[in-house]
Amino acid sequence: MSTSYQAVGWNRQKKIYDWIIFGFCVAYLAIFIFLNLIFNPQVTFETLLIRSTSTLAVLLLHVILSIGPLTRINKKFLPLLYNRRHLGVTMFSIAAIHGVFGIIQFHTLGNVSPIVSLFTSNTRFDSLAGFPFQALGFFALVIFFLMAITSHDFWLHNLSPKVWKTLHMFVYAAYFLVILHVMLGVIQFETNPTFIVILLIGTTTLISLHVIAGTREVQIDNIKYDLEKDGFRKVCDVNDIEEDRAKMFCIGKERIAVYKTQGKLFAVNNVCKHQNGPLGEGKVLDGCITCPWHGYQYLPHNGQSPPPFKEKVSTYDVKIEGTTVWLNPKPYPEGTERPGAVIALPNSKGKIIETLISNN
Amino acid sequence: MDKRKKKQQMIRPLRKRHLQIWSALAILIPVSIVSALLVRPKDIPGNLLQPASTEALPVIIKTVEKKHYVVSLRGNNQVATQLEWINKNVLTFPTAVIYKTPRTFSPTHDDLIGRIEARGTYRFGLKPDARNEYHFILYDFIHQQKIDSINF
Repeated sequence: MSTSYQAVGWNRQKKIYDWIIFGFCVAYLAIFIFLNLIFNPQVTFETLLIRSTSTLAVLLLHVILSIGPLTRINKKFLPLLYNRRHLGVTMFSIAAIHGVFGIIQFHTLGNVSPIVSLFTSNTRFDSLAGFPFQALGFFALVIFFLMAITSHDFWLHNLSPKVWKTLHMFVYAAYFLVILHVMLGVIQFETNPTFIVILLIGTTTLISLHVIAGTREVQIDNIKYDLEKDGFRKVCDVNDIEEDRAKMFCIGKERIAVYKTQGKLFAVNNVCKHQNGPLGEGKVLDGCITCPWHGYQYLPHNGQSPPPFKEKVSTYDVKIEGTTVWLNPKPYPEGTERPGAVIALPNSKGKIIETLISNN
Repeated sequence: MDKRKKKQQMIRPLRKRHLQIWSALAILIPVSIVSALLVRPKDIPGNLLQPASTEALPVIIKTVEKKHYVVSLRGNNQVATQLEWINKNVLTFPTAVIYKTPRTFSPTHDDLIGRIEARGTYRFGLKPDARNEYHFILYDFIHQQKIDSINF
C-alpha cells in the first residue's frame, strides 16, 4: 500500500513477529546442540551445524506451509500470515547455512569445483537408495533463493501478482524436493526412528490441512445462487452478515465480498490488489475494508484505497428486499462509487420491515 | 476491461491449482516416503571402509600415539601381521590412504595397505617384514601430498 518502497516497512507487529522468529530459532539451535552433545558427544562441530540447521529449516518450512490453510480453516491464525515472508526469508537463510556447510564439508577438499563435485561425485541416478540426494536439496535451495529475493513488494508490483504468485507456488515443488532430499539422504543411514516419525507427522499434517482447506474453498466456490431477478441474485439474509464484516459469494468467475457497515451493505470484488488476499475475510477498520493478509485498505462505497494510495477494486450493486440480500454480479469499473443498500431499522419484534433499494 | 476482467479472475484458478497440487502431493509424498523406507539398507554399516570380519589380533607389538589417531602393530606372537588404526577424530582430508613404505616414499611402488576416513577402528592385514621395519605413510591422493608418517 506504500506509495514508495523501502527495505522493510517496520512496525510494532513486524518487530514482535521477527523477535519471536529469532528467539525460536536461537532456542531451537541451542536445545538441538545441547541434546546432541549429551547423547552423541563424539559429534563434530560441522556435523552439529549441518544437522541443526537442516532440521530447523525443515521445521520452519512446515510451519510456513501450514499458515495458509490454517488461516482458511480458522481466522485466529491470520496474525501468522501477516509477516510470513520474513519467516520464509529466515527459513531460506538457515537452509542456506545448511547447504553451504554441507558443500564445504563434503565437496571443497577435492580437486574439482565444489559445485561440480556436488553433481559428479555421485551419479547413481538409477538407484533409489544411492540416489544423489544432495542435488535435490540444492535445487530446492535455488527455489527458496528465488522466492527470498523476490519476496519484497517491489517484485510483487513489477512482476504482477499473477506472475509472483505463480513463481511462489514453486515452493510446493521445493517442499517435495526437500522431502526426497531427507528421505534419500539422512534417513537412509539413520537408525533412530525419531526423525522418520517427526517427518511423517509433519507431512501428514501438512497434506491434511491443505486438502481440507482446499476442498472447503472449492465447496464455497461451487455454491449456486440461482434465484435471479432483474440481474440480481439472492445470496443471503441481511442478518447473516455481522457488523463491519462480510460474507463472500462466488457468482460467475470470482468471489464478491458483501460488507455490512454504517447501516449499509456494500459489495466489492473479493481480491485484494496487493497479493490477492481475500477482502471478504477482513473487517472494517477506521471506515475502510481491511485485507486480513497485510492490511491493505479500501473504502466500502467506491473500492478505492484512501489517498494517497491508488489501489482500486471493482464494486457491485447490492439491494435488500425484506431481509433478503440481492447481489448483482456485474462489476462496475474499479473504483466506481456505489451508494450501497440501506439496512432498515428493525421494528419492535426485531424484524426488518422496510424494503430499500438504494443502488440507482 | 478485458485485461481487468482477467485480473479479477485470477484467484479462483489459483485456489483450484492449490488443491490440485496438494492432491498430487498427497499421493506423491507418501509413495516417495514408503519407497525410500523400503530401499533402506537393512544393516546400516557403522564404518563403511572397515571389513566386518577383521578382528583384533591378541598381541600388541608396538604402538604409536598421535593427536588424532593411535596406530598399533598387532600379531599372534611377536611377528606383526596386522595394522590397527584407531581414528580418534574424523580426518579433515578428502582421501587418506595408508602405504607401507621403505624410507623413501613412492605411492606408485609402495604397498597400499588401506583407506581410512571416519572416526573408528580400522584393521588391515600385513605381510611380515623380515627386517622388522615398519614405516607407514598417510597419503592424500587427491592433493598428492603426505599427511603424516608413522615409524615403528
